[in-house]
Amino acid sequence: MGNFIRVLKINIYSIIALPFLLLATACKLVAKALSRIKIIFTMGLITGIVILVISVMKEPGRILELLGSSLGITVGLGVVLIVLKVAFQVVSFILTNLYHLAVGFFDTLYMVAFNVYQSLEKGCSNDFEYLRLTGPSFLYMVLCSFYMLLKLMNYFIKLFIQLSLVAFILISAGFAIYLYVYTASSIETAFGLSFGQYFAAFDTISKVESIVLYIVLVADVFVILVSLGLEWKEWSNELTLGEADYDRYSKAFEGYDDYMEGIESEDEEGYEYFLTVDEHLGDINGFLDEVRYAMDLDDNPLLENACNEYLRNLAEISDEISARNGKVSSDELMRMKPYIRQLDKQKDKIRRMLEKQNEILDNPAKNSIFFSGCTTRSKLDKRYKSLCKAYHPDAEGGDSETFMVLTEEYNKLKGMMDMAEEADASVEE
Amino acid sequence: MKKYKLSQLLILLILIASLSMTGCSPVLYGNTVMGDCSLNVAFLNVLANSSEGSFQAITEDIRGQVEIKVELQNIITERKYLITLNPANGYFYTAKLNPGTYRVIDVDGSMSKYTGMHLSAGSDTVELVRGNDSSNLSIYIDNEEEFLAFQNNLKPEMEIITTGRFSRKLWMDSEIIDIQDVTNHISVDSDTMVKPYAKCDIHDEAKGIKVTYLNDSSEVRSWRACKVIGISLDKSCALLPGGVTLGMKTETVCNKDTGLYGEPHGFEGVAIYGLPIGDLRAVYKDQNSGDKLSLQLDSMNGYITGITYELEVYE
Repeated sequence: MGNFIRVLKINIYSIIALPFLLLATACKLVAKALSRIKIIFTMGLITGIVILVISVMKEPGRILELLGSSLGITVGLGVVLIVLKVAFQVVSFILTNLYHLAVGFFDTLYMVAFNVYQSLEKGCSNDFEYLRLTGPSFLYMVLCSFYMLLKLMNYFIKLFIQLSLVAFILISAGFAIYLYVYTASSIETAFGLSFGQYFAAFDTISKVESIVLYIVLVADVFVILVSLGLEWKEWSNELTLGEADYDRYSKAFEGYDDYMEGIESEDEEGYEYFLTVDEHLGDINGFLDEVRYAMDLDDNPLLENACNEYLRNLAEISDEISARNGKVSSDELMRMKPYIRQLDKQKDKIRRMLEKQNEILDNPAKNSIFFSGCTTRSKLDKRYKSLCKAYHPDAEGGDSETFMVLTEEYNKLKGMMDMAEEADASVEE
Repeated sequence: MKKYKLSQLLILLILIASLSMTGCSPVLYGNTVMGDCSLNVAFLNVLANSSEGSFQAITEDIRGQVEIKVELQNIITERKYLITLNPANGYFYTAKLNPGTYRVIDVDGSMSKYTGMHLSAGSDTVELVRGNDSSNLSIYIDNEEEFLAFQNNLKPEMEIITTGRFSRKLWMDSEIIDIQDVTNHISVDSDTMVKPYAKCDIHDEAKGIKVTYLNDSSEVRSWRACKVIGISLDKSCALLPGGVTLGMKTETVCNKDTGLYGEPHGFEGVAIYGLPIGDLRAVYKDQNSGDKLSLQLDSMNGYITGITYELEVYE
């Protein structure tokens, strides 16, 4: 009966978890895509400029006429430019804030959905492992088909994200080829001509215009898709704990001391922020060691996620500063302030998670039903032996189900305590 | 990378919600295949056998491209539904909608510039009740007289069909005219005066024809006294030799093997065919007279959207 309820629970949890997994994935992909929106705007602007230049080249007389009435044009143009500049700043301000809000919204939604998914998945995973220990794996795989579906979806999502860059490069190439084939086919239908015959019938300027537009169109699609693929690929890299070249950043920072002292008198606060980043970089290796140690003992995806966010933030700030080769101005440092302030908050959050995890690891049996109070391996073994005498199926009043549960818990706690002892031993060495 | 305050997220949500409520959000049409009630939408004129007032009056080439879109809205839920009638479904569609009362918001036929037809629905509202037989909504041409006159105007005599493309002839107002005499067939209330050796354009917007005039004298003249050197059509008010008019498919006119005018002598504009990028014109030139005939092409939809005939001007 107990196993039946477990199977039912696994399937129900999986059905609920599946939409959250899809929602979390979609939100993260959208947030990543939004962060590339600047590229879309840039490509659109370049395309617009190219079209404008081509239009001018086709009718240069119009430009000469415009230049002919230069005085009136200059005055009018000056007023128009001032108005445009103000309008552009207002629109830019609104769009920038909307953009940040949109990215923040999807990031937050991703965190919420991901946390729900993780909690449900962990529940399923624990029960499924128990079922596998107690009976035929294949049978339970069939009975827990929704859980299998969930794991399959998770696998394919990770695969898709990892292969997204390659896929988008192929799609871009495919688009270029499709565009040519589609055009050639349409021309054949409409005019009964081959593409070569059709193209040869255009004048030179039209030919140049068409080639440029084709290249720009294909480039637009290629740049947008590939940058999107890069962003998604970067997310797949974040899914495993990565390392940045912090030594390189630290060395780059050494040269800034003299420069930054020079502006200290102008911007004391800015200099403080600069020192904050330097401090984080200096501490990074020790901090990463702490996190890796905790992750080795107990795989905690929330801790991993928080750490990746912190590392990413630090790497981006460091990239920004070191890219300027010692020419960071106060204004540039001011723009990075919100992100630099975030570093301390992120690190504090990770430290709190590490403390909580260490608390559990120091006393893994604290919340255990059967082994509460067992702080050492010997106490754990002693308690297990006593419980076996009471609950073993062969004992009077014994119960096989309870025995299985307590055995599973014993094995898990034993493993955690053994790993903690090994880690302590290697630290001492 | 940034943690956003709850207040900022709330502001964004309020912004999105208010945009949706003011109707600035994009229209998402409802499903028309899963409801409990059936609504038959039919274009009546296509079902009529008689050619009088029938859809069949339109030339086949253009008729085959006409699509009718009927937009309905549930008066309670305010959800919109789009029904499309086209040659593929024989201008008849059975929509499956939920019970309720639906208002007809819009009836729109494509290619109206080239067909001259204006459409209306048989009733302003339709009521669907579960358990009842299917309801019907008819679509019909509500300007039959003008439509017939428009189409009859495009039914030419054989002479215009067989005359050469550079004959400088037009079929307009139910007769064959010379391009030079087109001034008598346009209604423009303008007293534009043209400077010596200058050109001017006179546009009859109602008819959809623009005429280019040249004052080839040394004195200022009214446009009516000037010489016609070109015409541009943007509506189906006239037929060119061979029966060519706006709305005809590109391959019907410009195909090397089967087209009425055959392979163009050249092209102008953007060579990327099949996408809505830039203009494309097929150009025919007469070696003898120097006249130039340009057909403006809609490369995405594959039909003629404009015709320009320019007479060669000798110094």
